[in-house]
Amino acid sequence: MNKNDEQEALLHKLTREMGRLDVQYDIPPPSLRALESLIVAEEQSRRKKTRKERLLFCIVSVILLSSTLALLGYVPVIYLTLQGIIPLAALVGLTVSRFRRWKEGARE
Amino acid sequence: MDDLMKERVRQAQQGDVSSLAVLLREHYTFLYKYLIKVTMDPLLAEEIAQDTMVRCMEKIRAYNGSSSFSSWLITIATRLYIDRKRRWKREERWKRQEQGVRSIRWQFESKDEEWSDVLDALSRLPSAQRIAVLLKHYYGYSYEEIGEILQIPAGTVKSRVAYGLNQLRKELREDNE
Repeated sequence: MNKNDEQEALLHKLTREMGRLDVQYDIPPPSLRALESLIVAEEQSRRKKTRKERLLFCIVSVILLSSTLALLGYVPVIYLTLQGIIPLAALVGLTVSRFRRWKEGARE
Repeated sequence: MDDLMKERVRQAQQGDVSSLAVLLREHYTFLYKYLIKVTMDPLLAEEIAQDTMVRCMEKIRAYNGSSSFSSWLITIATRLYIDRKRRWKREERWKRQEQGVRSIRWQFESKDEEWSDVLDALSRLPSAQRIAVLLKHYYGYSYEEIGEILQIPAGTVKSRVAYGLNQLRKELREDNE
Protein backbone atom coordinates (compact mmCIF):
# COMPACT_ATOMS: atom_id res chain seq x y z
CA MET A 1 0.00 0.00 0.00
CA ASN A 2 1.53 3.38 -0.96
CA LYS A 3 1.53 6.42 1.30
CA ASN A 4 -1.50 8.07 -0.33
CA ASP A 5 -3.59 4.92 -0.10
CA GLU A 6 -2.53 4.50 3.49
CA GLN A 7 -3.56 8.09 4.24
CA GLU A 8 -6.93 7.58 2.50
CA ALA A 9 -7.56 4.38 4.46
CA LEU A 10 -6.72 6.11 7.75
CA LEU A 11 -9.02 9.06 7.01
CA HIS A 12 -11.79 6.70 6.01
CA LYS A 13 -11.43 4.74 9.26
CA LEU A 14 -11.25 7.94 11.26
CA THR A 15 -14.42 9.34 9.71
CA ARG A 16 -16.28 6.07 10.22
CA GLU A 17 -15.26 5.83 13.88
CA MET A 18 -16.15 9.44 14.61
CA GLY A 19 -19.50 8.80 13.01
CA ARG A 20 -19.99 5.84 15.34
CA LEU A 21 -19.11 8.07 18.27
CA ASP A 22 -21.74 10.58 17.11
CA VAL A 23 -24.40 7.87 17.01
CA GLN A 24 -23.64 6.87 20.62
CA TYR A 25 -24.37 10.38 21.82
CA ASP A 26 -27.49 11.16 19.83
CA ILE A 27 -29.18 12.95 22.71
CA PRO A 28 -32.37 15.03 22.48
CA PRO A 29 -31.84 18.80 22.85
CA PRO A 30 -33.29 20.65 25.86
CA SER A 31 -36.92 21.75 25.53
CA LEU A 32 -37.77 25.19 24.15
CA ARG A 33 -39.37 26.18 27.42
CA ALA A 34 -36.23 25.25 29.40
CA LEU A 35 -34.07 27.25 27.01
CA GLU A 36 -36.38 30.26 27.15
CA SER A 37 -36.31 30.33 30.94
CA LEU A 38 -32.52 29.94 30.87
CA ILE A 39 -32.25 32.93 28.51
CA VAL A 40 -34.50 35.06 30.72
CA ALA A 41 -32.64 34.03 33.91
CA GLU A 42 -29.27 34.74 32.30
CA GLU A 43 -30.43 38.15 31.11
CA GLN A 44 -31.60 39.05 34.61
CA SER A 45 -28.40 37.89 36.27
CA ARG A 46 -26.35 39.76 33.66
CA ARG A 47 -28.23 42.97 34.39
CA LYS A 48 -27.75 42.48 38.12
CA LYS A 49 -24.05 41.84 37.61
CA THR A 50 -23.65 44.94 35.44
CA ARG A 51 -25.38 47.08 38.06
CA LYS A 52 -23.12 45.68 40.79
CA GLU A 53 -19.99 46.21 38.70
CA ARG A 54 -20.97 49.78 37.89
CA LEU A 55 -21.55 50.53 41.57
CA LEU A 56 -18.24 48.92 42.52
CA PHE A 57 -16.48 50.89 39.80
CA CYS A 58 -17.91 54.16 41.13
CA ILE A 59 -16.93 53.38 44.72
CA VAL A 60 -13.38 52.32 43.78
CA SER A 61 -13.00 55.39 41.54
CA VAL A 62 -14.02 57.75 44.34
CA ILE A 63 -11.63 56.05 46.79
CA LEU A 64 -8.74 56.06 44.31
CA LEU A 65 -9.30 59.64 43.22
CA SER A 66 -9.54 61.00 46.74
CA SER A 67 -6.49 59.03 47.95
CA THR A 68 -4.47 60.11 44.89
CA LEU A 69 -5.38 63.75 45.42
CA ALA A 70 -4.54 63.48 49.10
CA LEU A 71 -1.20 61.82 48.29
CA LEU A 72 -0.39 64.42 45.67
CA GLY A 73 -1.16 67.21 48.09
CA TYR A 74 0.70 65.86 51.11
CA VAL A 75 3.57 63.62 49.81
CA PRO A 76 4.23 64.27 46.10
CA VAL A 77 7.47 62.18 46.08
CA ILE A 78 5.57 58.93 46.87
CA TYR A 79 2.95 59.83 44.27
CA LEU A 80 5.56 60.25 41.52
CA THR A 81 7.36 57.00 42.52
CA LEU A 82 4.09 55.06 42.31
CA GLN A 83 3.42 56.54 38.88
CA GLY A 84 6.64 54.86 37.69
CA ILE A 85 6.35 51.54 39.56
CA ILE A 86 2.76 50.60 38.62
CA PRO A 87 3.14 50.66 34.80
CA LEU A 88 6.46 48.83 35.14
CA ALA A 89 4.87 46.06 37.28
CA ALA A 90 2.00 45.73 34.79
CA LEU A 91 4.44 45.36 31.92
CA VAL A 92 6.47 42.68 33.72
CA GLY A 93 3.27 40.79 34.65
CA LEU A 94 2.04 40.87 31.06
CA THR A 95 5.36 39.59 29.71
CA VAL A 96 5.46 36.74 32.24
CA SER A 97 1.87 35.65 31.47
CA ARG A 98 2.51 35.79 27.70
CA PHE A 99 5.66 33.69 28.12
CA ARG A 100 3.75 31.12 30.19
CA ARG A 101 0.99 30.87 27.56
CA TRP A 102 3.53 30.49 24.80
CA LYS A 103 5.31 27.75 26.77
CA GLU A 104 2.02 25.90 27.34
CA GLY A 105 1.16 26.18 23.66
CA ALA A 106 4.53 24.71 22.71
CA ARG A 107 4.02 21.81 25.14
CA GLU A 108 0.58 21.02 23.61
CA MET B 1 -27.15 30.03 5.93
CA ASP B 2 -30.74 29.97 4.67
CA ASP B 3 -33.19 32.85 4.89
CA LEU B 4 -35.16 31.39 7.78
CA MET B 5 -31.99 31.03 9.83
CA LYS B 6 -30.90 34.60 8.97
CA GLU B 7 -34.29 35.87 10.06
CA ARG B 8 -34.05 33.94 13.33
CA VAL B 9 -30.60 35.33 14.02
CA ARG B 10 -31.84 38.86 13.28
CA GLN B 11 -34.81 38.46 15.63
CA ALA B 12 -32.60 36.92 18.33
CA GLN B 13 -30.22 39.87 18.02
CA GLN B 14 -33.17 42.21 18.56
CA GLY B 15 -33.94 40.48 21.84
CA ASP B 16 -36.55 37.92 20.79
CA VAL B 17 -36.21 35.17 23.41
CA SER B 18 -38.18 32.55 21.40
CA SER B 19 -36.01 32.93 18.30
CA LEU B 20 -32.83 32.61 20.33
CA ALA B 21 -34.22 29.53 22.10
CA VAL B 22 -35.10 27.92 18.74
CA LEU B 23 -31.64 28.69 17.38
CA LEU B 24 -29.92 27.19 20.40
CA ARG B 25 -32.18 24.16 20.41
CA GLU B 26 -31.54 23.45 16.74
CA HIS B 27 -27.78 23.50 17.28
CA TYR B 28 -27.52 21.85 20.68
CA THR B 29 -27.06 18.24 19.53
CA PHE B 30 -24.57 19.25 16.85
CA LEU B 31 -22.57 21.21 19.42
CA TYR B 32 -22.67 18.44 22.01
CA LYS B 33 -21.47 15.85 19.50
CA TYR B 34 -18.66 18.14 18.42
CA LEU B 35 -17.61 18.60 22.04
CA ILE B 36 -17.72 14.86 22.74
CA LYS B 37 -15.13 14.35 20.03
CA VAL B 38 -13.04 17.31 21.13
CA THR B 39 -12.99 16.52 24.84
CA MET B 40 -13.48 12.74 24.76
CA ASP B 41 -15.34 13.33 28.03
CA PRO B 42 -19.17 13.33 28.07
CA LEU B 43 -19.49 15.24 31.35
CA LEU B 44 -17.09 17.94 30.28
CA ALA B 45 -18.75 18.10 26.86
CA GLU B 46 -22.09 18.77 28.53
CA GLU B 47 -20.62 21.45 30.81
CA ILE B 48 -18.95 23.24 27.92
CA ALA B 49 -22.06 22.93 25.74
CA GLN B 50 -24.01 24.74 28.47
CA ASP B 51 -21.30 27.38 28.90
CA THR B 52 -21.32 27.88 25.13
CA MET B 53 -25.09 28.41 25.15
CA VAL B 54 -24.74 31.03 27.88
CA ARG B 55 -21.87 32.76 26.04
CA CYS B 56 -23.93 32.72 22.88
CA MET B 57 -26.81 34.42 24.71
CA GLU B 58 -24.42 37.15 25.86
CA LYS B 59 -22.73 37.64 22.51
CA ILE B 60 -25.52 37.08 20.00
CA ARG B 61 -25.50 40.78 19.08
CA ALA B 62 -21.83 40.51 18.14
CA TYR B 63 -22.44 37.68 15.64
CA ASN B 64 -21.96 39.24 12.20
CA GLY B 65 -22.90 36.31 9.96
CA SER B 66 -19.48 36.13 8.26
CA SER B 67 -19.40 32.41 9.13
CA SER B 68 -22.29 30.00 9.62
CA PHE B 69 -24.00 30.00 13.00
CA SER B 70 -22.72 26.47 13.71
CA SER B 71 -19.13 27.57 12.96
CA TRP B 72 -19.59 30.48 15.33
CA LEU B 73 -20.75 28.09 18.06
CA ILE B 74 -17.80 25.77 17.36
CA THR B 75 -15.44 28.73 17.72
CA ILE B 76 -16.91 29.74 21.08
CA ALA B 77 -16.95 26.15 22.36
CA THR B 78 -13.38 25.41 21.28
CA ARG B 79 -12.04 28.56 22.93
CA LEU B 80 -13.95 27.81 26.14
CA TYR B 81 -12.47 24.31 26.17
CA ILE B 82 -8.92 25.57 25.58
CA ASP B 83 -9.33 28.19 28.33
CA ARG B 84 -10.63 25.63 30.76
CA LYS B 85 -7.83 23.17 30.02
CA ARG B 86 -5.27 25.92 30.48
CA ARG B 87 -6.52 26.45 34.02
CA TRP B 88 -6.23 22.78 34.96
CA LYS B 89 -3.12 21.36 36.53
CA ARG B 90 -1.39 18.61 34.59
CA GLU B 91 -2.53 15.77 36.92
CA GLU B 92 -6.11 16.97 36.85
CA ARG B 93 -5.97 17.15 33.04
CA TRP B 94 -4.73 13.57 32.83
CA LYS B 95 -7.23 12.27 35.41
CA ARG B 96 -10.22 13.84 33.67
CA GLN B 97 -9.06 12.57 30.32
CA GLU B 98 -8.82 9.03 31.68
CA GLN B 99 -12.29 9.24 33.27
CA GLY B 100 -13.81 10.65 30.11
CA VAL B 101 -12.43 7.95 27.85
CA ARG B 102 -13.51 5.27 30.33
CA SER B 103 -17.03 6.68 30.29
CA ILE B 104 -17.20 6.71 26.46
CA ARG B 105 -15.81 3.21 26.34
CA TRP B 106 -18.46 2.08 28.82
CA GLN B 107 -21.15 3.70 26.65
CA PHE B 108 -19.97 1.64 23.68
CA GLU B 109 -19.63 -1.63 25.56
CA SER B 110 -22.97 -1.28 27.34
CA LYS B 111 -24.61 -1.18 23.91
CA ASP B 112 -22.57 -4.13 22.63
CA GLU B 113 -20.66 -1.85 20.32
CA GLU B 114 -17.01 -2.50 19.70
CA TRP B 115 -14.52 0.02 21.12
CA SER B 116 -12.03 0.46 18.29
CA ASP B 117 -8.28 1.03 18.12
CA VAL B 118 -8.93 4.21 16.15
CA LEU B 119 -11.04 5.76 18.92
CA ASP B 120 -8.49 4.67 21.48
CA ALA B 121 -5.66 6.26 19.50
CA LEU B 122 -7.76 9.39 18.96
CA SER B 123 -8.37 9.73 22.69
CA ARG B 124 -4.62 9.54 23.35
CA LEU B 125 -3.83 12.31 20.88
CA PRO B 126 -2.99 15.70 22.50
CA SER B 127 -6.13 17.85 22.32
CA ALA B 128 -4.50 20.51 20.11
CA GLN B 129 -3.85 17.91 17.40
CA ARG B 130 -7.16 16.16 17.93
CA ILE B 131 -9.11 19.38 17.42
CA ALA B 132 -7.13 20.22 14.26
CA VAL B 133 -7.62 16.74 12.74
CA LEU B 134 -11.31 16.75 13.67
CA LEU B 135 -12.04 20.16 12.18
CA LYS B 136 -10.08 19.43 9.03
CA HIS B 137 -11.06 15.87 8.23
CA TYR B 138 -14.46 15.41 9.85
CA TYR B 139 -16.02 18.87 9.64
CA GLY B 140 -14.20 19.83 6.42
CA TYR B 141 -12.90 23.29 7.41
CA SER B 142 -9.95 24.78 5.56
CA TYR B 143 -6.63 25.40 7.32
CA GLU B 144 -7.35 29.15 7.30
CA GLU B 145 -10.79 28.69 8.86
CA ILE B 146 -9.36 26.44 11.57
CA GLY B 147 -6.66 29.03 12.16
CA GLU B 148 -9.36 31.63 12.78
CA ILE B 149 -11.25 29.34 15.14
CA LEU B 150 -8.14 28.51 17.16
CA GLN B 151 -6.52 31.95 16.76
CA ILE B 152 -3.30 30.48 15.34
CA PRO B 153 -1.62 30.75 11.89
CA ALA B 154 -2.79 28.38 9.14
CA GLY B 155 0.75 26.94 8.95
CA THR B 156 0.54 25.85 12.59
CA VAL B 157 -2.82 24.19 11.90
CA LYS B 158 -1.29 22.33 8.97
CA SER B 159 1.57 21.02 11.08
CA ARG B 160 -0.82 20.02 13.89
CA VAL B 161 -2.99 18.06 11.45
CA ALA B 162 0.07 16.35 9.91
CA TYR B 163 1.52 15.54 13.32
CA GLY B 164 -1.86 14.24 14.54
CA LEU B 165 -2.32 11.95 11.53
CA ASN B 166 1.25 10.67 11.82
CA GLN B 167 0.74 9.94 15.48
CA LEU B 168 -2.51 8.09 14.76
CA ARG B 169 -0.86 6.08 12.00
CA LYS B 170 2.03 5.17 14.31
CA GLU B 171 -0.25 4.10 17.17
CA LEU B 172 -2.46 2.01 14.90
CA ARG B 173 0.57 0.33 13.37
CA GLU B 174 1.89 -0.49 16.86
CA ASP B 175 -1.51 -1.87 17.87
CA ASN B 176 -1.56 -4.14 14.81
CA GLU B 177 1.90 -5.52 15.44
